[in-house]
Amino acid sequence: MIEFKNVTKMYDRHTPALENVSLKIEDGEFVFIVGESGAGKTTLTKLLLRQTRASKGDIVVDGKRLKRLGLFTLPRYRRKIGFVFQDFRLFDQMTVYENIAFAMRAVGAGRKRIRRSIPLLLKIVDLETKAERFPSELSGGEQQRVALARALANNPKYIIADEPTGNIDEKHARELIALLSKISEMGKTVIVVTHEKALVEDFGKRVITISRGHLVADRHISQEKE
Amino acid sequence: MGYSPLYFLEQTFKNIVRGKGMDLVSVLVLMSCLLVSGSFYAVNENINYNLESLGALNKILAYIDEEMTDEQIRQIKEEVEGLENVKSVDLISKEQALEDEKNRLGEEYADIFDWLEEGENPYRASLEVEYLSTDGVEELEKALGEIDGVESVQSRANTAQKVSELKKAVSKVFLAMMALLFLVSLFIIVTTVKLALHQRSKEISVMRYVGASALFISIPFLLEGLLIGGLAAVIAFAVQHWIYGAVAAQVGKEFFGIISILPADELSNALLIGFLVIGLATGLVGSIFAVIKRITD
Ligand SMILES: Nc1ncnc2c1ncn2[C@@H]1O[C@H](COP(=O)(O)OP(=O)(O)OP(=O)(O)O)[C@@H](O)[C@H]1O
Ligand SMILES: [Mg+2]
Repeated sequence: MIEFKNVTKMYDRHTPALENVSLKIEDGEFVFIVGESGAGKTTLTKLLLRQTRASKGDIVVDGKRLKRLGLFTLPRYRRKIGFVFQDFRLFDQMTVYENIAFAMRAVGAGRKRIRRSIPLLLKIVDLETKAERFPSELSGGEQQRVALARALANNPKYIIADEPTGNIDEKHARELIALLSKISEMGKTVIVVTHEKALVEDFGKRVITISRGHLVADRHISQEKE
Repeated sequence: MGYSPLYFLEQTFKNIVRGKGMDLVSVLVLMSCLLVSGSFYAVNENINYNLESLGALNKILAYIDEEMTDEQIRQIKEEVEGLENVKSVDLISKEQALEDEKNRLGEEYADIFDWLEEGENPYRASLEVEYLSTDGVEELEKALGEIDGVESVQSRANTAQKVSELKKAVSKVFLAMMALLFLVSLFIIVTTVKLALHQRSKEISVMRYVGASALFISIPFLLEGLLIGGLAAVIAFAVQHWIYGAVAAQVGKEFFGIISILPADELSNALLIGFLVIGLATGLVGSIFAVIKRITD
């Protein structure tokens, strides 16, 4: 479970990027986080990854207070999270297979496990035939799915994606959200940051709206609305 | 765990290949630093060695007049033993003096005395006077000089003092140079490893976000530092060995019989171990400095 308790993040002294935000995300939930540009969405994901620390308040994940994490406990915490970068952050000089293997090796996975897991991961994201391709030989949507497969590689409990649809067209964006939805049904907690309202409306999930650093709405959109 | 040493080494070599020669510069600078330190050590050891062969510091040599008979020499010895501040007196006969010198020069120069006629001996007998306190040395020297049959007095205390003053002066210069060079080496190693970190910043960021341990991320960079240090040590040792041989030969020729040079073999173990320890430590410390901020921020 993820819990924000009155979290404020100040990058400088004047304007908070997030102010007094409190929210709870239960295990297995699928949550959209929406808001205008500069609202504080990325800040929220950075706080969750402990890429940056809260200025005030507490963030508690599975009973652990993130501000308490140190040199040894922070990496272990991060293994619970699969993060999908908006810019994919794939390595151009590595194949799809090697890109995923890189993330697995980094947390100590052995050769055997890597060889067994990657085909399964590629099957989930529907890229079984592209293992030996380089990222430059893939479409934007395919690259995004490689990034997702890599995020899944170490079997994290949480999947966080910051603007995963930012660089792909609408059809592929829908497919990607559907894929994330499928992944959440596999028992993972999925948090998707986006500013594409139309997309969110169609999926009938929980939507948290942030505006100018404040949490302004937290509701479930029912799918029947369509 | 799938951490394989080969993987880390491969990453380290990639760093070096991408390092645009910075690693080579680091090795060369650290190597010069080690060379200066090694030369300092070698000079120092040789000074000590020569001091030793000059004799212990608290001794005075009194050379006996050549005319003196054995009986007279014995009387002089007794007289000296009766002087104030004298601890002990050793008689070094002419024969022994010749023998000592032969030994000192070693096999290689044994034929140098071949021109001597049978029974001929250019050396004089001497008394080695060990004294109790340095304070009364001048009085003792004077008293020795006044004894009939004592031709000349040589105080080694004087020489020893001059040598140790020289040693101090040399030490200061060397230590300052060493400190400066170590700082420069450290700085260059830090810069080199930082460059490698910079070139891998994307990989590091991905590793960090998937939860790689600080050690896993750091190892290739720490290895890079160690490799720079180790390589610098080995090369410095080879160069030092060569320089020492050349200088020893030259000094041996020009100051033959005045200055004795330690054989290189007697220094090489200490030098190699010293170079490796200092080199590896500098490399490791430099890479830790470079890495620490990147993995703890
Ligand atoms: N590293 C930083 N230093 C200073 N200010 C920052 C930093 N990162 C973000 N901000 C500021 O904090 C606010 C929130 O930024 P954030 O990146 O969270 O917005 P966002 O909701 O992700 O926007 P977008 O939809 O454009 O990605 C913005 O005003 C931004 O300028
Ligand atoms: Mg953003």
